[in-house]
Amino acid sequence: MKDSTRRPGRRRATVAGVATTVVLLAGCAEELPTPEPDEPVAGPALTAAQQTRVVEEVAGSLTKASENEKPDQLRPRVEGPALEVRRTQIEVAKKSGDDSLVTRIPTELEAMILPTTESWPRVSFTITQPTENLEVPRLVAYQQDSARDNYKLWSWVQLIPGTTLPNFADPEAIGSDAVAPDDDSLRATPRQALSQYADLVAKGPDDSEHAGAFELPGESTDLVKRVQKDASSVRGADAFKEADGEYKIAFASRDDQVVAVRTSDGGAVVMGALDGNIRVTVEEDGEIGPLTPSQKTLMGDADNTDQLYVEYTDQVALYVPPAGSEEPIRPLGYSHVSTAAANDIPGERNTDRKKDDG
Amino acid sequence: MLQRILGVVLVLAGLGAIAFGVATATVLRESDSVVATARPAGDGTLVVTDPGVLGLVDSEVTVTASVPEGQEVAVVVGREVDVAGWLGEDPYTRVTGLSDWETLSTEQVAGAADEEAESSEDGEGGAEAEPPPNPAGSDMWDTELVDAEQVSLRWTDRPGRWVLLAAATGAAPAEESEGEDAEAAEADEAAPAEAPTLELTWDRDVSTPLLWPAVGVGGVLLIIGLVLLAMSRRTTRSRKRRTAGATAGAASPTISSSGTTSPGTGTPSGTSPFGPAVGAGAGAAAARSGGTWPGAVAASPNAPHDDGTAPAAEDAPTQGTDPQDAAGGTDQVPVAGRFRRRTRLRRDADPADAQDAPVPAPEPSAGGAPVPAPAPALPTAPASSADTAGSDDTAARPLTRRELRRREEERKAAEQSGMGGMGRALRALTGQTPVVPRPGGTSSPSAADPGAAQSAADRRASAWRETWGFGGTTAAGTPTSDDDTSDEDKR
Repeated sequence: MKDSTRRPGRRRATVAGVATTVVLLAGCAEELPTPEPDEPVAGPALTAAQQTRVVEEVAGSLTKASENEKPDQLRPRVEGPALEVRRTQIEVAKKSGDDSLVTRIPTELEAMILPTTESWPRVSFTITQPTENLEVPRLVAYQQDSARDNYKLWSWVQLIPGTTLPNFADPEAIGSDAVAPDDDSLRATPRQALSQYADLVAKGPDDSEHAGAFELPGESTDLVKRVQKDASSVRGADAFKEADGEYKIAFASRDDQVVAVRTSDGGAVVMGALDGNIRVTVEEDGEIGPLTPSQKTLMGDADNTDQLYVEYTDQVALYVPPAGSEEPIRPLGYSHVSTAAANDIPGERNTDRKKDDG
Repeated sequence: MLQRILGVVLVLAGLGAIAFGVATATVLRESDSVVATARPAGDGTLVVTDPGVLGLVDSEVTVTASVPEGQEVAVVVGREVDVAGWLGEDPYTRVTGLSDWETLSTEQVAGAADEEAESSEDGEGGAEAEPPPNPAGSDMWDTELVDAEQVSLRWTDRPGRWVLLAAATGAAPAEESEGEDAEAAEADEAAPAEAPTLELTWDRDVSTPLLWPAVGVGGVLLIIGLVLLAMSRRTTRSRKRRTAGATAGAASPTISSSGTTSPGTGTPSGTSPFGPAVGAGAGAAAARSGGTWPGAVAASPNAPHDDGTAPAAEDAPTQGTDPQDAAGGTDQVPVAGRFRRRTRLRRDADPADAQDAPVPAPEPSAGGAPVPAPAPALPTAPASSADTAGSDDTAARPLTRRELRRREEERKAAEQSGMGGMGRALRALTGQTPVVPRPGGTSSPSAADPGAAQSAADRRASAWRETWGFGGTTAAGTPTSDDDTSDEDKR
């Protein structure tokens, strides 16, 4: 009797003791959480909102520099070929008092091409709406050189009317990969494509060996047609012929200023800068003056001589199809801006370092 | 005895477990917000959280970064790659997580450009002191805040590896530097910037996982313990009834003597021959109690088990002997009775009640303080013990607590009735208001008024009227307008 009473009692006491201990111990501490970082999310390195902000910042910088006529104020937000061109445009506008030739870059966007690049430099692109006065949309490249730099306007081109742009990956969700300047997954590497295009611009479709690789727009004007037309209009002039004039064109791409972004079909849109110049000479007692108001402004007070030298910094955009494609390379847009003019032809020219003039 | 000890232990354990469970949900409950601070020491003016730290406790976090007075602090949130790229080779402090609930663990990351940073921190050493790196203004950040001394930023975690970068950016610029250009913002010659102190605050959903388990376990323990106690008590009761029955019927001394000797010997053998008598005694007691406690009969089969235990044997004689004590019983009994009285006063009081139920007078003799007596080891069980105690002793109607209290008051009143001052003091203690009209009321000038026998409020009103010179008629007209007149007065 006694034993049967005691044993359950002890058991009960043990159970109670154990239960109490467990409860007390369990209550002692809630575990400290440890960081559990998410997997990196693949996507653009820049959000649409950030891109919009970049566009606005850049536009603000452009406007301010133009209004103050201080090209140095471009520096925080403009670089590369865009800086050269813009600087010239502002200086010309300042001297001539006419800013109509300063390229407007609308902030209203038609599309964005956002980068997926995790390292630097990173390049994003935008396609703007037509400007207020219905100029063609611009394709604009913004580049971030390093993590501590901001995106800066690197290059822009006016799109050739009638050009269809290739498709890009969804900018918000996926983003577009950058393409290296020497990427060989394309019909031609971006660098090669630019170089060939420069040759085509300088020599014209009839004389360039690369003409076959390109499909130039029929109706609309691209850089090739523009340069060749300017040349032929001068060359064709009677007075020029009488003066035994000579009109030489040289164009060369800059190997270090190439950006490219992958398109949906595996091709790439390549933007780059071309150095170009024209050298016009007439007979010794002849006289050749600047051909455009801009050149006139750039020449300033210099007298006309029998020589004219004009330098261009041209920004171009090409579509390069993927390797193996039968599609030709297409020019998408260009910006043709004279950056210097002189009344004598210098021995050293902006195209020298690349190749001999044609 | 063992059973009772076990019961008490279980009840205590149960109560403890319940109290603990409740405490985890109340006193011990963790604060609803977690505030963790990082105080970086070392080189660099930058503090960076590891990915995942921002969402460590809750997806919503409030970050406060502060720097000494006169300096400026910038806080940005960006993707890990971007921040890592931005940091480059600068030294910085990494926040790696929580080291405890109030402290963030940090880790110093020495930059590759350490010497440069140092020399630039020396200030005058270089030709131009480089301003501390300022992340503000970069296109890459998702969120960015800059302010003097302190910045608070609220961040809701989202997919991806988001990190926070806080930077002391040197002296707050006296004037806005142009644009948000980082380079343009130049630090003055003020004290070199130190890494900001970072404080992360999360709201926390505090769960109380132990509340119900603990309460449940405690409840079970409590019930088991109570059952054990009840069983032991039942045994006690039956033993006592048997004893009482024996006493009432000029009990044979053998029972009481064996009952009193059994605790002394404490040997089971002393009680075992006693067993059969218990059954009979219990039956007799139950019969005597008019069948109000039939459970005792039903439970009587259990009684033999319990009888074997020491407590039952101990209890039975004492309770039985107490009435004997009051009635001037044998010599042996008072000793045990006194002992009992000290330990189990409740037991003593109740039999007294049972015997002299209608008359409160004997109660004092039963003990000076029966009321607080119920088993001190059972704080939660007074009701049950009182009920059972009352029910089994009065055998007709359980004494409610209120009745007990009333009796106690009456008893006290009776005790103190001789001393008027004490009685007043007692009244004051009990908060009773004397109903007797004050003699001053009649002697006051307003005694002539018809409202002489008015309530205290009226008397106050009339006193007020008198003070302010109002006529007695007015007072008679507005006997209860104490508040009204005061309002008028204000007007």
